[in-house]
Amino acid sequence: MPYLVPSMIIGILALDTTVAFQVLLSQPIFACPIIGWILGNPQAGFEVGVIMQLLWLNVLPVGSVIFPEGNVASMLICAITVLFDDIPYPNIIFTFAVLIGIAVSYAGAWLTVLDRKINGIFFSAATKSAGHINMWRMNFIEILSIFIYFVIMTLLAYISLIISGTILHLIKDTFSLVVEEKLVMVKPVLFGVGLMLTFQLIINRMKKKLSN
Amino acid sequence: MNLKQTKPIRKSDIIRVFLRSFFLQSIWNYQSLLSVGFELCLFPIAKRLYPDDQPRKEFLQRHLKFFNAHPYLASYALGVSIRLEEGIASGSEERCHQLERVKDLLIPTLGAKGDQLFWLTIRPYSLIVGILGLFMLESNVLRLAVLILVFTIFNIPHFYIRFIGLTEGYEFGLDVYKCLTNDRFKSLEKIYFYVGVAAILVFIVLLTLKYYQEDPTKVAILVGSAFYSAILYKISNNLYSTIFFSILFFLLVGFLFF
Repeated sequence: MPYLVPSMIIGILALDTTVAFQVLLSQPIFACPIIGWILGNPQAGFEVGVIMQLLWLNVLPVGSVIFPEGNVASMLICAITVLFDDIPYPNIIFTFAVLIGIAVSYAGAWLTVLDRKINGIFFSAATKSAGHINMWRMNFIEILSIFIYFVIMTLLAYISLIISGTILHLIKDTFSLVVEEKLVMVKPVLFGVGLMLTFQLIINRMKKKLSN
Repeated sequence: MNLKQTKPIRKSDIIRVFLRSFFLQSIWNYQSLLSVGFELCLFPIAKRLYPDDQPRKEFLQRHLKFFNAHPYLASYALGVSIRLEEGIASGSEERCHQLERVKDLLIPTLGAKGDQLFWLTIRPYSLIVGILGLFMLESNVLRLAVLILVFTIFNIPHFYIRFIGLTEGYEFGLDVYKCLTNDRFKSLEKIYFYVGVAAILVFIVLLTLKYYQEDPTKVAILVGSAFYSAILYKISNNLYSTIFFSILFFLLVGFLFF
């Protein structure tokens, strides 16, 4: 079960995105080094964290907006990069991890919607408990709701890691040095996209200031 | 008006509400948004003010109605609610209507101010400082120090707002608007914004220099992908496709021309 521990850590850190605390620990520059350190490669965690943080910097967890689950995706990218660093093609592994990460950020967004729909059931249960003045039950509902989000994100990470591991072991023999060399450009591309998104954030703020 | 004698709110109750406020969004749902979390934060107050079943039941039902706010600035609404609940517990029925009204009025104010202050300013610009620090420093110990610094510069205003919101909301009650003026956090916003912009500019210079020393082609890819993705993002307004097609485009360019 080599994927269970990183998946559970991703599940715990994911709680910080919206469900509990919101003290930044789920942000890539914090979460990736934690994942990297636990899996034995903090250096990779720092590097992946910087790239991913730029990409997801202007994603806002505001109200009912369906936002990409960039934090979970970043942690997963870091976990894949570190778990499969025995394959001697780091650029291919990183590119593969980013592609999996994009899919996970999309799936994570919809799983967050699902979790919020489940919370609708908890809201009904809380309303009933309020009618019966059962405060203990309402506290339990809160803990259960947090636990369900943790389980959803842990499962997402676990399934993604299993799929990634299976695919990588099936295709690793087809990797070549030519492709590895070409994929050196993936990190500059991601930095370029990240910087563009960051500038959007700055420009939007300046536009707003000017219009005021 | 026949006012009843109630147990006074203690500092420990306020601290308990403060600690519970970190789980404010735990039961975020599409029917009532933050209301369940908001009510759970106020449990210590319910236990203090309403020892009897009927008023406690009314309290619980009162706070399950729709409520939304920025999770940090919601503490102002919590503080006001505690103040008005004291009045309700004393027998002032008028306070009950005022509570509903003021919570409704606070929704847009707390949402907009919180998003502007934290999600659009303090959070991204603190993180940019972290990105620069992690990029510049080689040693893991120094990088850890950067992370501690970023954690601190974000969470000092975060914890401060959560706590001061509660205490000011409780102190000012219905006059809480005096604490939420437009100018109040302007200087804080400016500091984070200017430091963040300076940090991103330094980061760009260092990144460009690093790539130039490694391989000048990387600088071309960096600049090219920024412009390409800007156009793509403008057209699609979709982050997933922007990232995916940027990688794909430069992969093709790489295979065809380099």
